[in-house]
Amino acid sequence: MERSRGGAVQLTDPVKKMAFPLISCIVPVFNGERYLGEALESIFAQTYRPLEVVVVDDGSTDGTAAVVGAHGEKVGYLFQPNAGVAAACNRGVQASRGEFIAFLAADDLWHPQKLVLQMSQFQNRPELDLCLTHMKNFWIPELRAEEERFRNQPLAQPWPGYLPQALLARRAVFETVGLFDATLRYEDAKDWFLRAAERETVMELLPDILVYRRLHRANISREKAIASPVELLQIVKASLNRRRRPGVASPQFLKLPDSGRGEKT
Amino acid sequence: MKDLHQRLRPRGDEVAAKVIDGEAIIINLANGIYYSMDKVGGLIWDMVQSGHSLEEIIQGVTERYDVAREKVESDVLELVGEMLRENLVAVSEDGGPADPGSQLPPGEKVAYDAPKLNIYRDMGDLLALDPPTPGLGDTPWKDPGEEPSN
Repeated sequence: MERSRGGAVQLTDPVKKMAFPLISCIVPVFNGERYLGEALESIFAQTYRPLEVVVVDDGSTDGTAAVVGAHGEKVGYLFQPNAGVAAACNRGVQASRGEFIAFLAADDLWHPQKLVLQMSQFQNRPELDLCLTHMKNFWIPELRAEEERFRNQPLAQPWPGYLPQALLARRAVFETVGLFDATLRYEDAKDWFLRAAERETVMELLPDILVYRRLHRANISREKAIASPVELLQIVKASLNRRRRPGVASPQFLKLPDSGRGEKT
Repeated sequence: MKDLHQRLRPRGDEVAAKVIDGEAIIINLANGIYYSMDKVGGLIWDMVQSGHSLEEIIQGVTERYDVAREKVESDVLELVGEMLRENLVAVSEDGGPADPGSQLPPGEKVAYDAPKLNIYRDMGDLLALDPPTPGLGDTPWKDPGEEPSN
């Protein structure tokens, strides 16, 4: 695993140590027994405290509950009939109590300094609403041939993580932007970030790679890759409609943090 | 592009597009730039997607809107030039649809606004495929034996 920065990060002001806000770490999972334990370990390995960990089981029929149970009282567990990842994230937001919210997909991993680096941004910029990091894929050993094939392609390069697992947000943001749209199957995250940008939410994007997405045989992103892009077109249309509504302050053009990638053609 | 019998096709490998409520929404999935065209522009995109030639598009717009053909021809050619520059369409070698007139039910002519390609370069990092993967087709994506996990 890569380390994007050497050494431990100290939050700026030791006096504030007593006032470190609680981060709720929400882990939506559906039949994720295989990798969930590693995901939870990457939360416990965070150098930031205090944390609240809430697993939202989206109707699993495998051993997911047992993996959570093995962690005892350190992990909160909620079960819901299968309703999709957006609904599971929303349930986690509603049921948790942290002043800050983070998400981790049950098959992904956080860098141990993910939360501390993000929280230090909030300490430096009190106006900040949310902070994102870069992400990078890694392949399970059984897919080594695929990993080799994509070694020099974008799939193997870091990218700006506009996904819940790269997000640390003030809880208050969910009150202004709203929850994830659980009627969307694939594009609920992009829809949420579009709505956040329309609200001129103050965002920071860290250059560091702090989230590792595991590529295995059953990623939802693989399903999405072959699905029709109709949902993406619909959320963009809805965003344009909202921006044109009379009396709405939303700007015609939105603003995202500079990723340094510029425009690619 | 002067040959009015030429046809265009959306660059389907990298460009996603759909006319929704009369407005064409177009996204370049490789770079996340998105586009919109409403009214006349929506009709033009619809006809491009259906495989109509430039001549058929110009005729279709002229029949439906209260406007001189010369104005439509000049506007369509300008719009097409912009769509080609933005890499949204390519010149097609395919034939046209079986019934070129089928998209155009007759009706009262309505007021004409010159079509405009609105270009949004503000959300590239969000809307580009994450990460941009034009070569997706190479991948053995789905194993039907496994359920997707969150």
